[in-house]
Amino acid sequence: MAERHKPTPEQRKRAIASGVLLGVFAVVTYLVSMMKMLG
Amino acid sequence: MSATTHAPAHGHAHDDHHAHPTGLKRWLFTTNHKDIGTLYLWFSFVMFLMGGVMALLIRAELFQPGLQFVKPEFFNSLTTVHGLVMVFGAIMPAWVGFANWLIPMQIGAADMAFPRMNNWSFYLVVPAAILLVASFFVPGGAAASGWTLYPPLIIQQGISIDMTILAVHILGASSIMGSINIITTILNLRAPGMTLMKMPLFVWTWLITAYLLIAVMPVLAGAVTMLLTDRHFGTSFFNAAGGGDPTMFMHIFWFFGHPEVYIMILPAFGVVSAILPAFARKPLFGYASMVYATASIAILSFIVWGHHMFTVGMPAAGNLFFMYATMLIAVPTGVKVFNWIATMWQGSMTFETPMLFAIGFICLFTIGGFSGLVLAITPVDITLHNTYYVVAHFHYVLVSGALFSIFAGIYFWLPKFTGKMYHEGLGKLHFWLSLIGFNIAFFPQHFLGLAGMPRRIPDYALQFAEWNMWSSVGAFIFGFSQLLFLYNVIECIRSSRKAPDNPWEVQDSLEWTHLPSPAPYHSFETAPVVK
Repeated sequence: MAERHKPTPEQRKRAIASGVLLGVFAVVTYLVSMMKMLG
Repeated sequence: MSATTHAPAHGHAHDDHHAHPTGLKRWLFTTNHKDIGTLYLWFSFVMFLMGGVMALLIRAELFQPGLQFVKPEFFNSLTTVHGLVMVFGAIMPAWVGFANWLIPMQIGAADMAFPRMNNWSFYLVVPAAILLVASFFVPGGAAASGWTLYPPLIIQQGISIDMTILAVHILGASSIMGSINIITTILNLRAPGMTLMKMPLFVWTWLITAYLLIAVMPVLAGAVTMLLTDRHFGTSFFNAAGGGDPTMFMHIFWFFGHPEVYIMILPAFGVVSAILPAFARKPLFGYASMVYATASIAILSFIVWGHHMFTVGMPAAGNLFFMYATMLIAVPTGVKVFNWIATMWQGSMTFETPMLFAIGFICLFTIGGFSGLVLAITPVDITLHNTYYVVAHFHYVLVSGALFSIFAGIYFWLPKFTGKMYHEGLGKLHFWLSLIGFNIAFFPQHFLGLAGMPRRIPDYALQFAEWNMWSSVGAFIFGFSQLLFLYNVIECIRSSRKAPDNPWEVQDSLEWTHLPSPAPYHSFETAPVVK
């Protein structure tokens, strides 16, 4: 299989950090929107 | 200004002498962005055909007054599931398909940031679609509340509602995972020299779309979770019988629903901004203003939801705020239309199929935008609310807006996807039949709405008969002309018309300047350098 260039360790670290941050943001938005509806 | 790249190096991988997984295993376990893009695109086309069949059943019933083919309850299910399937099953997955195919190639990345999550995002969409369509076959029939899932109807119906709510949850999770992947890829995996303001506009529009998705999908998920607890766990968040507030659901739904419209239309702006310069043989006019206009539209989309519910009795100050905020969106949208026209101005234009669909998009989407401005005026909206004028408006935005640009994008990038050229004559026939069929189907609906015909009814008063007949004839022309598109794509894949690496002579996008046609399984052996 053709080798493709891979993200550098630094890019990988930053990507995981961004992914986790965005995931947490989505979950918090979900919970906050329900809590707002609860009053 | 978008990226100016150095001459094509041999930075791409030729996969003709390299193996990659084949057969069912390849498609089930693939983590390759092009494979997943292809899966999304075919899936969305299948869902488009299913939603299309529902639309044709609706139009067959409405061909003349009286009840012809379907019972009123089934008619309501058809309008509901048609909307859900087209929004969540056809248009959104089509754009995710484009995003998967194009974003890594356009920013010079090897693949998406999280390839396994990418696979999972796609394979979540499939069971959700099955749940939606299968809900027709359970006792009580499919959801009949309209795609907005308003209580109290949604609280009263049978098990199909639970299936719909589960489907919406799954689709939301898939969209959020896809958005995380797209944002992370764009922000972290761009090739050296590819600054944000050198990215192709399609990448920009998807970056902003992904932020919209991540901000509003969890809100919809929260609302439908609470619907579920109202149905099964004795709560009364939205159930007036138990002291709840159905209007609150409408506020929450449209806080999601209006940005959702832009989720479906912003990537279309990106596609059209790629196609017009190619066929006008001029750089895109006003690149930076296009970026800022896209961001402005996205931000404004969060503060206009009330215009969907002027009739619920909001305070006058609220109505005024939502009216003016909605009208404000015309400013950045106008900037975009101006820039597209300026791009074509004095260009050496040719009118291949992608260009025809892109110009069709500009003309018809602008009509949809203008009828949106009419509906933004509170007193006018109170008269036109829930009439066919609204149906005409959003079909001009979503069919001639989103769908036409999906067709434009498919024809434009098909040589890169397949390595073959589509049949130009068939493509042009597809365009003209779609254009004529679409306008015959939906333009008369403006007249019907102005005359007071309500939406979501299987029968109507005699004075609406003539325009309804025309509308149904147009819908069938439009519907069957899509089979031409299917034939053209399959014929293209099977044909022997080899496509050049850069058939449209695009100078500013890596997929055309740095990669052969078809794009190899793995795009770049070494990261391209953008000057």
